[in-house]
Amino acid sequence: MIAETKTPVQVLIVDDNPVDREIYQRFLMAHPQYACSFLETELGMQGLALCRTAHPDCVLLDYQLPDLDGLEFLAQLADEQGVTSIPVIMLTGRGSEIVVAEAMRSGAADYIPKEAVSRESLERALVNVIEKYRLRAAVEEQRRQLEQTNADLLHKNKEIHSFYHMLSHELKTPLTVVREFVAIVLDGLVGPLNETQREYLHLAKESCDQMALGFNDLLDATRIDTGKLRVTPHRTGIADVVQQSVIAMTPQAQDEGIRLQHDIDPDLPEVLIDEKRIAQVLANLLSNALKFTPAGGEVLVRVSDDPQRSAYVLVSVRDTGRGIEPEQLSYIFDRLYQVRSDDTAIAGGLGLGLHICHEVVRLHGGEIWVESTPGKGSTFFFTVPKYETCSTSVTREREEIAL
Amino acid sequence: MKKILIVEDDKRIVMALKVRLQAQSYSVVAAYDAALAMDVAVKHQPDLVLLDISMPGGNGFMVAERLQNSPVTMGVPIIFLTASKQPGLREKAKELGAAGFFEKPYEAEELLDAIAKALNGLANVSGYL
Repeated sequence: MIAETKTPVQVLIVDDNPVDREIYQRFLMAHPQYACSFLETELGMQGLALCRTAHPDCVLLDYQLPDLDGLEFLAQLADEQGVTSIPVIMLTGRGSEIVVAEAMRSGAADYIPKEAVSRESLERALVNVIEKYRLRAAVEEQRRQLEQTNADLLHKNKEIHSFYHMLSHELKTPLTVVREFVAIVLDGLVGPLNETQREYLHLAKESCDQMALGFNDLLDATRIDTGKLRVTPHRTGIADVVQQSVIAMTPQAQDEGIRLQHDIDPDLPEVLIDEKRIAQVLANLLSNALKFTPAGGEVLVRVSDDPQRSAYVLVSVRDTGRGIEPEQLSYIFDRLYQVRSDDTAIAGGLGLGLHICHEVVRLHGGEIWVESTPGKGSTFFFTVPKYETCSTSVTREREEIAL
Repeated sequence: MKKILIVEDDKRIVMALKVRLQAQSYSVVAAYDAALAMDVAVKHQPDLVLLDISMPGGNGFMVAERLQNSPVTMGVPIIFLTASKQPGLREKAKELGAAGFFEKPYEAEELLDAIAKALNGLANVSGYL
């Protein structure tokens, strides 16, 4: 019963003394845990050859051999196999402390002075080194697997990233063709249009723009996922960015019968922002506000000092839309969040916009949040850092890197 | 009549640009890949180059450098057009002294404005970079 559970272990004995070889075998023959089998040789070179061909589980090595000494043996074994692959127990003569220290440094797994060799000491040393090497190999294997997994993930990440770039590029080219030819006809370059034709082509062109924005959002979301979204803030006024964003949305607001207004404190100091990215945040918030506000409603953009934190400027976009249910508020900046709506004309979009806003504001060192009363409307707030007050902050460093 | 060279591998985009440019009374020549661009430029000596960035046979930046290093085409204003969103492209265009940088889909009105300004030596103030 016990014999069946014993682990087979092959021991290579390298010793020029046949009597010693015989003694070691006899001591290990009845090992309580291992079913030992033996290979033996009197020469170091032959021992090395057997290590290569037979891959023993352990080597009992006499320090003094006719052709090599123990250190040379260890050095050559390391060259061939890597130091850790086969444990070597060094058997040393009397008074060889220096040799022992050297051997352990050179990769011997253990040593036993020849005068201390006994059944117990050999059995114990064998268990120790085999167990030690088994654990070491397991740890090494795990480390290797982790490294491999890490490399695989990094590679996947890169692949996903370049796939989305390729996708966006491949889709945007035909989209450009569609949009441009629609625009050419719409602009009357190939002849006059009637009102209906103009209206239809206008819808087609608008849809192309929506698609282009969708591709860009998709790319940004991929950049967020792969940690590659960057902002390059620099010193600028915020009023222009806000005004431009409002002007860009005014035609849509007028079409939908919504009053779009802004209220910008004229005495605000300069801020440290990536204008294009902050414009993107405003475009997203304004587009949402208009989407959810009924005709006759109002959207107000306000820019002022942040009353809570003096180092920041506070921007808010308030609408008189249907508001957001309290239970949805905590998910609203999540990736792929979508307003649940029976009205499919109101929902729509990729659900990436607010997620991107959140990330862009965060990369500026600001915050974004929302307050809402269902049935009355929502106000989105975000903050951006003032230029003069972030001279010691990370944001300023970021600016310098960008420059 | 001012002559504009379009370097762009998508023939449909070349066609759409041609319609716009000819409507503004520009004369237009085209090269459909980066490798041919230099030959066409040297042969036709355009007043401005509209340059795609990702193309077979080399990218637009390489073409721009060659244009700038050739005595025949040196100093001709270059406007880049790209469907790519790779970071750093606009900065690279700026570094190369481009007169404009447009992402596809482009707004034709803005592109034509940038071209007119570049041809009048107003590239630096055009704001299309």
